[in-house]
Amino acid sequence: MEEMIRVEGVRKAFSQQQGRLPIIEIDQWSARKGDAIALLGPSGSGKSTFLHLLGGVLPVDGGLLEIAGQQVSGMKESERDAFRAQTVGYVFQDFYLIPSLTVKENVELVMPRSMSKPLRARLIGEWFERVGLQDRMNQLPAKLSRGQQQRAAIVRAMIHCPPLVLADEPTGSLDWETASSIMKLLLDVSRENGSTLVTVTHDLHLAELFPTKLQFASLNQLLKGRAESSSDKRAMQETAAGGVSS
Amino acid sequence: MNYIWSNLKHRAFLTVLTVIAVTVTVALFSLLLMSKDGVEQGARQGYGPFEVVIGADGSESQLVLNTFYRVGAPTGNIPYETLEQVRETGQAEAVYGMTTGDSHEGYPIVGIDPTYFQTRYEDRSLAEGKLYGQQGEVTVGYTVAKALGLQIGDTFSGAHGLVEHADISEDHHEEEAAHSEEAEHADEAMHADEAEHADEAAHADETVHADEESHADEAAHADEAAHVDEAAHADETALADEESHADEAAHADLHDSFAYTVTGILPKLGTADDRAIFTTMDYAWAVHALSEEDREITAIIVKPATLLGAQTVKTQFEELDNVQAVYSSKAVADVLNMVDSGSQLLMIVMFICALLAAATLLLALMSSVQERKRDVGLLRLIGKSRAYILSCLIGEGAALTAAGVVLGIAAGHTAAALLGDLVFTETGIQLDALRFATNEWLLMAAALGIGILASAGPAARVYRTDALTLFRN
Repeated sequence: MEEMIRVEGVRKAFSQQQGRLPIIEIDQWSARKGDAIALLGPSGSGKSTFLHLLGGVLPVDGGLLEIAGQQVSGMKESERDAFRAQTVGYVFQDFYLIPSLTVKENVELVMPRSMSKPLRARLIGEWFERVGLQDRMNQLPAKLSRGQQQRAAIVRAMIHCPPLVLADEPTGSLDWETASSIMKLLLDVSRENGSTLVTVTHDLHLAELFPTKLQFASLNQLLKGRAESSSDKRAMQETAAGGVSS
Repeated sequence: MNYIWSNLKHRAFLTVLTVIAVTVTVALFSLLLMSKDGVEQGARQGYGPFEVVIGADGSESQLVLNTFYRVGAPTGNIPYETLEQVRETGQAEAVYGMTTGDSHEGYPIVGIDPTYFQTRYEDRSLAEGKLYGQQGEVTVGYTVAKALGLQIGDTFSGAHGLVEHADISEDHHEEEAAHSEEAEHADEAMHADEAEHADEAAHADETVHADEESHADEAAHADEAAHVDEAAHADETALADEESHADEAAHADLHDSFAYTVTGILPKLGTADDRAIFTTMDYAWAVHALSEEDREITAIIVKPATLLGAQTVKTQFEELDNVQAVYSSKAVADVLNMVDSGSQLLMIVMFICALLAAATLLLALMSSVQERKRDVGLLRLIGKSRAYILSCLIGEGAALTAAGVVLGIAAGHTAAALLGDLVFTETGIQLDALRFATNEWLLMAAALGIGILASAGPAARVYRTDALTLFRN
């Protein structure tokens, strides 16, 4: 199957008073189109930073990062802006819907300006119907429940059919039942869109819904020694609890 | 655009407050520009074709202002013969003598030959009735007729002196009436020979009466008279005061006994003539019972036949004792320069208002930027460029300013339309609400410029926001 993500020798470090603190060092990793990957690991292990590298929010310090055939490493900021707009959909724990815009207007922000009004209206109608928010799309986010806000955020991430969807703890602030239905929705729409989904989660039960579960420590050379097999349930629980398995 | 509009709606209170600040500032600026235009327009139209004015020695500006704009007091009177002498020069296409000094309800009564209207306004026809032709007939200006509700056939008596307001005029009447009563009282108390003495004094006083220029003088005179009148019963030296008191009463009697009948109403002319009452030149002599040799006029206005003629008349008559001849245009230009200095001062005040409005806009946008840092982070995350963010913020400032400018111009012109008549009646300034004033386009452009400039600071702060701001917050 077509390769969606290709990572070779990618490094990222942050400036500190004592110098540069290395956070990520990945020799080689790749994911295919349509993959759904649950990224697991303790807090502070660099999962979110890795998502920001994949999304072009942060530039890589070295190595090769290729997404959907585009070499993100080496892109200028403006190029990364354009890359994110076309290639990446984001879903966050706190939804990040703009409070002054209606739910529909929030979604319209990611739609290309070149798209005709009728097509835009049809797509919006279909997507909101799909997530069960067709009656709420003209309301401000504050009027919606948290679960409904996350559904709207998923529509915003998916409506322009991005090849890559990045989700950072998308169910972290929801109750179990809602979280489960949101995660299923995210997986369903990604599959239907043919998008590659990379989700950071601490919830091992929800991670079970994903065909691919990946311990971030097994990927990051800096954490390699602590890596655990995704099949090791006990270690995963420890990881989910914030501990580090050995 | 949608994003800008939604943000403005979301912060409705701050938006309304900012728009109001801009609206009020622009409306005041607009009114100021219209007033400035009105003053200049009025000044230009004010003297019509009469390039030279001849009057008593004194301030050139005072002579022109009083003659054409009915502002302030006349510089004094000049002999009637001067008018004949100007006519005899043969350098004038039209010459008119003017008598002023009396008023009705604050509006000046001007004695002038009725052909003045033909010379000045050509074929403009009267709003109603006909021009005055005989002594005691008056044609009233448009504003006067409207303000006093005068109709053809109405009669009234004039009051001595020029007063600015009808209410002051009423006080003046009351004072005069009280004065008359006191005078009557004095008359009763006085012996027959004293009364005779008073009559003589009254006659002498009348000859200088034309020189009395203001209501204040007259009021002071009345007060003084009243005060001394009380003392007169006790003191022999008060006789002279009683005489002058009686003299004033005699004046009041003269004015009250001289009735004017309205024969016509002028159309709206857009000049000071709208605020005057016109009658025959000899009314002043009749009212004050002047003999032929004592006849004087307040001013002579000259429409010269040629430019050289203007110069000849001016040179010839300014050589006369106690007489000055001035070019109307020069005196008006001098006055306009003075007005300009005043309006420059007002402009400074207005600029302070503009700065306050700009500061309100700046604060509104600063607070909005602070509130929306996370939103901007999100916009950057979903791929919106820095230029997009910048244009949204500046667009918001521009939209607020544009709304304020449009509303301000509308408010300014509406105020001018509503208050135009009142302003003209009170100040003689004509506000043209239906036309953009000179530099009003510049005002709009400048307001928009300031609005955009005020938005630039907050926008620049946001410009530096990157996608990671979303997570930092």
